[in-house]
Amino acid sequence: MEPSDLPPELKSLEQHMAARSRPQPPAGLRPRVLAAVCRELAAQAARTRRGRAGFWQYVAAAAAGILLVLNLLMSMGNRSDFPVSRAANGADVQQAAAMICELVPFITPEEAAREAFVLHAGSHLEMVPQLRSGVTGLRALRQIEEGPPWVTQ
Amino acid sequence: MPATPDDLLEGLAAGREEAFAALYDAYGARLFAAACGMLGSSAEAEDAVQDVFVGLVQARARLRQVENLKAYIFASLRYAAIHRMRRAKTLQFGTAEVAMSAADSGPDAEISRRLELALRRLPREQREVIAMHVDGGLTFAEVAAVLDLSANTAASRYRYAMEKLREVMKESQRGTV
Repeated sequence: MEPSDLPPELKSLEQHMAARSRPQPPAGLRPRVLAAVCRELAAQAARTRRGRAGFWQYVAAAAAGILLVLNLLMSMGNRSDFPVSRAANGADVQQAAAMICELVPFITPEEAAREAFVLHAGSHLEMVPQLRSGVTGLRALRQIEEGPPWVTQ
Repeated sequence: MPATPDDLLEGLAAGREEAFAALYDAYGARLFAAACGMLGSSAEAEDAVQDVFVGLVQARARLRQVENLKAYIFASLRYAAIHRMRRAKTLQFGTAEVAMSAADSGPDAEISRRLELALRRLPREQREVIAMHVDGGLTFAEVAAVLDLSANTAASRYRYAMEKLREVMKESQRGTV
């Protein structure tokens, strides 16, 4: 303890303070403190390990997600020759495809089949009047019911 | 045992158990004495010393930047003591326990007992400066570093604390006569 500039009566009190009996640390305090230190060090190490494992788990999950999305995108991009059902691939469609192949020699059989399929689908369209709202639409309906204008006039 | 304070700091920062053991051997008794002076309870003082060491482990990444390890651990002790006092919601707990243990032995047992009782009646700031200087063996420069004061202010606070202690002792003497 360094000397302090205290008056004599306080100096004496300071000496009494320094000489007074003070409680000593119990013998069990050292092992108790060091055990607590070991526990905290072990807990820190465990937290660090968990932190590292968590990071790698995150990286693995992100990589798996990216691979899945890439896989889906590639399969969608490559799958351009969708199978045609048997009902839509009848004899008339095949015949039309053969005719297209004859007419257009450079077309592939798959493309010819697709064109034939589209033609076949278009050939089954039915004529339907285009209904417009309001007075114009009503007039168009009446015309259909009454027949073509050249018939009534 | 680490040869220099820098080796000790390096060992603590690296989390080596032997460095913590060496630190306890060097400062454990003084930390405990100062904690008893601040808290007035040996059980609370034991817990405060343990808090200091656990806190050192938790903050070991920052220990390499510490310049004065002694001031650092006594500052940690002060915070641990304040935390325990706040939790107990009183600054006066454990008075009888330390006073009685001081009265157990020695020829000046009565003076020691009265000094302990008088210390308990000081404000916390004055009590901690006495505990650090007298019980912890810190110089005024080190006390100043712990309390974030100038050395002169720390010395003045100590002198006021001793004057207050003397007044309290006189009052108690008048009360007993």
